[in-house]
Amino acid sequence: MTIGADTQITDLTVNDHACLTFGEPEDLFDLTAAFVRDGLDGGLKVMWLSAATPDRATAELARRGIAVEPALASGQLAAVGFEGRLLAGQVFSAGQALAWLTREMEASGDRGLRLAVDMSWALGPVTGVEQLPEFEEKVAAAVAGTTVSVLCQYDRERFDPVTLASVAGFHTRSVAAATYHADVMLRICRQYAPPGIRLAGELDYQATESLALALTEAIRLAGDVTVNMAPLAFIDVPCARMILDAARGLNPGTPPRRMILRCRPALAARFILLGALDIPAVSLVSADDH
Amino acid sequence: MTTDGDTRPAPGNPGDQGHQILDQAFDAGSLYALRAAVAAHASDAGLPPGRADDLVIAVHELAANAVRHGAGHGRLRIRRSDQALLCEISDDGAPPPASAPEETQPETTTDTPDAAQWRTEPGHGLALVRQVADQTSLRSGPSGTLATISFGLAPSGPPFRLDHRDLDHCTVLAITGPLDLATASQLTQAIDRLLSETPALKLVLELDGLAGWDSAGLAALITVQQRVSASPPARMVLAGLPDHLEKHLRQARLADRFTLADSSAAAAGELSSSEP
Repeated sequence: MTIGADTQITDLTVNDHACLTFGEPEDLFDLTAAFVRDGLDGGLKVMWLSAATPDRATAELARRGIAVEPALASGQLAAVGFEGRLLAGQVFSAGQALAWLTREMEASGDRGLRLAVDMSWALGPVTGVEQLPEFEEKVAAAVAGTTVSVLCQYDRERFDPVTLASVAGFHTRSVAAATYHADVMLRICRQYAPPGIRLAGELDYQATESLALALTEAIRLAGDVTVNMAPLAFIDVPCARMILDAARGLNPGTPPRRMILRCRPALAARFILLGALDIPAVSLVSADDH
Repeated sequence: MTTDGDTRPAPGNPGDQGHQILDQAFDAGSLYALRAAVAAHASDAGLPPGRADDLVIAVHELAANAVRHGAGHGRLRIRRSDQALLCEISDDGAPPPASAPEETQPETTTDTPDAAQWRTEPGHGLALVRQVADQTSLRSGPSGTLATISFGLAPSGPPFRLDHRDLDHCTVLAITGPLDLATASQLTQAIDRLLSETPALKLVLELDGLAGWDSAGLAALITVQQRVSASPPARMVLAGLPDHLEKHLRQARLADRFTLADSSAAAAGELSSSEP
């Protein structure tokens, strides 16, 4: 059982220059959505530079509960590509990239800026990519003492350890999804947007300890808890019952807390046969619905 | 100790034990491989996807019981006849402890989100096995436990269809064909539409044309009953249940959730006579 990060994405504050490492696209979108959500909630200008098209990027954010449309319309949120910002064609220059960042920082004024940067551009055939550590060092200096925070996003499966080590020291924090169980059969990790946990693979009684820890930590947070089982192919009765018992134990409070079970229809039927519909806090959502 | 249940028509002729298609040992480390093997054989035998999922969970729960409460290992044998898949899960070691797995524990409620209080009693696994399997048999003795479950290989019946008609100021919704993973959502959506159109719905759900079900079908019946119950004064009566389905609901302890009637006419009478 591992908790794989120094800092949770939700703990980031102004003038952080954080290094996010992720292992799969779902993690990237989830953690980015939380970073964007907290920035919008704080009234900051939020920008996400990624390899995804703007439509795809904003759709992924919307799917995770971010009110994308009004934020885009007001200019508070922007989802953009690398060209003309970090890259000019296939050429990278640390100095020009920093000049672009400086202009964005000035444009955001006192409002503050949250910038998420998918670093996958550095995996391509880009001239000047050797300036990446220099760029990271300059970003660290630029955001220190400001109302700007930058989240650099590195795919740990695709970036080599030497590159990751060369840039790690220039970041103020290291961020990754809290992972409670990860092996070839099963992954249990925290989900940040919407808050809860995500289960992928096949889950049986042998992982109840990890599941209990994940549920306990998710429930300690306020608000509704989402148990995202969309990528889960199998769940046995002890684990399903543990999830339902956790829902039963949610503090009713005001407003009442809900546990949203998102799963494919075959698993939803299992939860229903185990009594899910008799628990007021449970809301079953088909993983076919987005 | 022996418990038996038999709820689906002729899933296996006792004289036709079929031929063995799988003989696989298992322990805690190989339950995934066991599930994969069962899923492959279920699909090969022609079980629809929902029924195949049901077979996998049933075998898993019984095998997990053998691992956790028996010798720590066991053996699965599957025989296939024309009518059924017959699965034997044997724990050939120590017998189960005094708290036998088939004993369902009383309900308790947790007030705090403390994982230590969350239940993981194995008895609930066996309850689910009884809900999804056509036949369940459990025999425990000094030499271990033998669990046997059967899943019928029914020939495909008529395709799924929903038909509406009015009867004595009631709405009759007649189901023809299989109520399963592929069709269950059509039933819930139809009931949602009826409830939105007629808040004081008096619904007869006519089931004598039902030609098979799986756990998604049973879950759909529970779901629509819950939605009707949550929308008073709407009411629903299940009419014309095939005998094997009624017996199955009773053995699976699901029958108490529903009002049952022998026929649609009797159901309409029940709904009319008990009007507020």
